[in-house]
Amino acid sequence: MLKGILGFRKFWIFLLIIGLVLFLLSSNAGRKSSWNPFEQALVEITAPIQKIITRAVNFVGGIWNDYFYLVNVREENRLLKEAIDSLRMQNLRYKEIVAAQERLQALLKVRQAIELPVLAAQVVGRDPTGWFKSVIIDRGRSDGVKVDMPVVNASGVVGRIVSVSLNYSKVLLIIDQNSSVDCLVERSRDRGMVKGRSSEICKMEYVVKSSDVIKGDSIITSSLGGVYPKGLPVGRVSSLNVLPDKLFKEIQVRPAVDFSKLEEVVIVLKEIISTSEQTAGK
Amino acid sequence: MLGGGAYGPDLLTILIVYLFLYYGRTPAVAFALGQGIIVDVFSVGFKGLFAFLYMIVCAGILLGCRFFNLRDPKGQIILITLAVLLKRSFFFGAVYFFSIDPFSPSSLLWASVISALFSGLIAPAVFFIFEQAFEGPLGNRNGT
Repeated sequence: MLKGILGFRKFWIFLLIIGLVLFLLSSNAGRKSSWNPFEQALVEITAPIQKIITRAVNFVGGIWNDYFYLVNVREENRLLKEAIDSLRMQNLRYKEIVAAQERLQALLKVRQAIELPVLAAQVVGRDPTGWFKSVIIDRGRSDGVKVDMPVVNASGVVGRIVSVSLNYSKVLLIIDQNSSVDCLVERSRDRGMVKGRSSEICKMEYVVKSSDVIKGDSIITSSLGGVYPKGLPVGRVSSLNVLPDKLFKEIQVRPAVDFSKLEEVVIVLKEIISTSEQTAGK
Repeated sequence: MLGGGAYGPDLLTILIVYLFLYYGRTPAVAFALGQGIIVDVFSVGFKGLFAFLYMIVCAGILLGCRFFNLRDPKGQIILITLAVLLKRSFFFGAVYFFSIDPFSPSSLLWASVISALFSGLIAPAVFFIFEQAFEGPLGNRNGT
């Protein structure tokens, strides 16, 4: 019986609570939702506690975001940097290809301009001494290269072949002190000999004092040496001196070719005719 | 010449002296001769010039060992400086006597002096690097 009374009492308490809740709900109708004094008091008590809990949660979350979670960001950063490096290398390669293409196009124009068979070659080595001026190219006897064949590039005369092996050749550059090229002043047709000085500047010798040469004149090959075809650019007059006690003018010539940037050259496959044969032929 | 241009250190001479010091005369001379021949083949200079020059360097080192201690850094500096100067002197002499139209500006003579001093000064450092790199099981150390 006692159980029955207690169970009945619980039922009524439950009904009371439901009623109160329904009453609260119904009190919202037609009113602005604002805190009543009781709610305000409740908020004033619980809000600071909520604030502390929120700060603590944010603090822990910040540690996670700034340190642990950044591991992924760091890895992403590393991958992006690697991608940038790879793209940079590709870009450099493409630039190199474009530059090589421009050089080869210029070389092609030289091929077309010279009315003799020619052969393109790459410079694969330089004179190891630093004093003598020569280069090694990747064409040799197997390609039809012979000693004394002239070598040129898009800018002008480079030198001549002095040694040949099966697949490589040595080119004596015109700036070497052992090199001499028979030349003409393009404008006045005065003759001289351009000799190397193991430096960037050559000298033009045996130019008579009565000749008409001025600074800036273009110097070309004369073909009289039997090595170089006629009309190939050798360089420009960079300075001129006329000394009273000398027989000839002192002329310095800056070569047309930039020997510090020599990469591709063209070998002119002409048969070398010796001077005596030339004279006999005439 | 042969590394660094006209003013740069002569690394081959330093290497020859190093071989002389740690491996003896025969390997040093063989190396010097081989290098000289290779340089002559690839150069348009006179045939045999650099083989001759490096033999001069070897002779200079042999003679210099009597007066300077190669194991002492001071001795190394002096000997290598003198060896490079000797080599350059013979080189310019050969170029002057055997060229049809010799050309040797005074600036190149100064460059030779600077190169010789530079080579001498860096030699102890180069020797030290080689010692660190090659010490250990690298066998024959029968030098001077």
